Amino acid sequence: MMLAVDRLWAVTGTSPLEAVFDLPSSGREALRTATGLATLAAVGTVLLGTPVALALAAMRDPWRRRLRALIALPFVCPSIVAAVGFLALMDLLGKHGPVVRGWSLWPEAGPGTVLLLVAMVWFNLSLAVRIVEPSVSRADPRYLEQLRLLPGGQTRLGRARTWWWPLLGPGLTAAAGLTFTFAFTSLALVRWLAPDTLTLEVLLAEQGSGAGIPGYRVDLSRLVLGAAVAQAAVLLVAVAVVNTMQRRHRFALDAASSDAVRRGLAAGVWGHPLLRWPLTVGAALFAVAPLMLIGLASFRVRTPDGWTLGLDGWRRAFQGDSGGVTLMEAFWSTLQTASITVALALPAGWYLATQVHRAERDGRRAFARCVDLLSMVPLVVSGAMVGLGSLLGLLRLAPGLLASPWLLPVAHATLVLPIVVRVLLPAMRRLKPEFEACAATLGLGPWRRFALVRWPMLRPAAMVAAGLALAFSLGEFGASWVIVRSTDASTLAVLVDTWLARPGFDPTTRPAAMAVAVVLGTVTMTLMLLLERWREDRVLGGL
Amino acid sequence: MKTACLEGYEMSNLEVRKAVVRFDGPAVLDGLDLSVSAGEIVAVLGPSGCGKSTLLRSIVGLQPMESGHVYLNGQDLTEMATERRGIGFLFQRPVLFPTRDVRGNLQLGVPRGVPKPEANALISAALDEVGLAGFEPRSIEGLSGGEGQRVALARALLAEPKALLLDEPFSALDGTLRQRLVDTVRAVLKARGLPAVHVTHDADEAKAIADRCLLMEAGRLKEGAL
Repeated sequence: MMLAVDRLWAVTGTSPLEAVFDLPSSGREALRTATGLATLAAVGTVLLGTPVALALAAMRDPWRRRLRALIALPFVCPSIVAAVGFLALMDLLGKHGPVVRGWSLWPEAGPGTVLLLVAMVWFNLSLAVRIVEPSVSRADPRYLEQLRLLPGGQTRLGRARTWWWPLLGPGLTAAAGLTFTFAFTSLALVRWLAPDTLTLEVLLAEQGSGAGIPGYRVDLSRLVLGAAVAQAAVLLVAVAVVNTMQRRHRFALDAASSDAVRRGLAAGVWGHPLLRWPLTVGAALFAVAPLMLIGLASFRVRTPDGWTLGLDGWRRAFQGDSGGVTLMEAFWSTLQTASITVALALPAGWYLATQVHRAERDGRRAFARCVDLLSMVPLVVSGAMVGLGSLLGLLRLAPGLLASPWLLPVAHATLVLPIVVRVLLPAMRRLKPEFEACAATLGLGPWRRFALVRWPMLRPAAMVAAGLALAFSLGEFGASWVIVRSTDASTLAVLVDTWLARPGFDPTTRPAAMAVAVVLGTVTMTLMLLLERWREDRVLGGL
Repeated sequence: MKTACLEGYEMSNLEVRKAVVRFDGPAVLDGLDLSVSAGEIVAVLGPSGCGKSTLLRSIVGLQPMESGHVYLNGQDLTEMATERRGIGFLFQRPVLFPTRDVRGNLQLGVPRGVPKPEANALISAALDEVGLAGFEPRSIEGLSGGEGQRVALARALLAEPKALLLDEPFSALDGTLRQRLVDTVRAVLKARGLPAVHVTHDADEAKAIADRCLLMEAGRLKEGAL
């Protein structure tokens, strides 16, 4: 990112701040649209997610667990697969599909933005549920009962202010902030559900490849520089809000048994069967429908008379286009990229987490906070920006490496680093210092302490971090799309995009895209769901 | 003080000279001196927060000292890493590694280079010594507080320490169990002839285990009557 800004600054002779304030009208429009869409997505996600979370908390296991797992599916789904899912849904609507795709949120936003907003809410719904539901599920109902007996809690408003807001407010704000961040940097969804809509991420991804070349379209380089800095500034604010709210979210409550909580909630409005079942089952169906439809759409081939079911799409995907990449080639390439990503991100994340943990333990709080925040920086840089940064950075440092197979894993490793640190750091904090102290008193030196004590105890967290990094890399689209265009490699996510971009007169291209999306979605989501179970079983506490 | 010593174990003595440890404020250890002879068990008594645990952590090297020295058999250990000091430590709550069973935990105490069959024999003998014969395959979760502390003691002894420090290791145990463990620890320490420092805030426990009792006040030690 720094190298890219440096390069663009050198090429344009314009400082980043100037570039933001002199952003051309297309850049300002992209900023307005991205902010408007992301804000609506954040509000919509919270408005829909809160009642679903409350209704889920009022349910009894095993239904609660089953429905929660289904509602969680979209969040672990690669964004390009989500886009394809909604396209499949539109195909199924027949002649109504194009009508729905024509709806616009506001005149300048462009057709398809209503569908785009629904997809963004769909994508992040589980986030709100995941953050809100545990807070509600652990809250001892006796607090509320006590509050009802006190003057400050006798009105609904009083209880909302004294109980519900402190309980849910920070979590909901954090969920809204995260949804805003994801929606603001969404590329695949915008590109395929609202192709005429210009957001900052689309602008960076599509225009970025022409930027940073001395003497060539300086206006474009200035636009990209301004857009990149404006995007980073907005994301910085959003991530700061999320961080603050997540810290406040961890307030101490006497944990009550889930049965006691459920009984308390079940007795209230959220426990009413006419509200509880439609909300939770509806949310689960909403979550699953687009994903199920991708499978169906991969077999659905257009004919002059309508549709027929067949394997043409799958065959086409496995054979590849003339000179194009086949499904299996993209699969192995994706797996290779993801493996190298893990090999790079895990040691780097381990090192960073260790430094933060050591500094915290030794009382060097300012240093710990500083390194912790620095490790989070990739969160405020979008996928397209990381891809662009890698390309422009290399253009300045080592142009010969532009076609290197290491370029994509390095970009992916940059993006997953915050995830790896976020998983490892809490696990390191939970390790009692007595373990290492005790090992030292037994005569174990630093290396043996690492091999025999520290590693075995942190291995589950490291496995989760590696799995998350792997899954993220498998489904990553933004950086891959920007980088792959300048290399010979391809990934499954990019291959889906390539098939979708083929001319529409060929009836097998859409099913071929769906077939690749099925493979990508299945691999990624299976990995994520396995990790979820592993995490519940092995890694102590929540991450 | 001369004490009978188990055959094969070297006699040693432990000394702390003018130890100063300070956190943000007045010194917790303020020029403290301590001398423990081979085979002698010294109890350090004092209220919570007076610096008893800090003293033990300083001796073993887990807490850096502002100034002062720690000697074992005349050798200055002050700048030496914890793992090279050869001093065993029993924590207030037994620190047993949950990723290993009882045998695995004891294996951590076996000196490097000991062949596996011999190591297993040593582990069995150590468990036998603390009254837990046959506990090798047990998981850590299944142990009671007293059993856990015995496993920790066996592991500490397996490492062949030249001195042993006990940081209120019996405080979480009930009366009968505590007495039995005190008797076990005393017997083992006497048999091996190790100098030991036992910190506690319980005068009865101090009397039961120690040969000599010291009181901790204002960061220093003074003689107390048993």
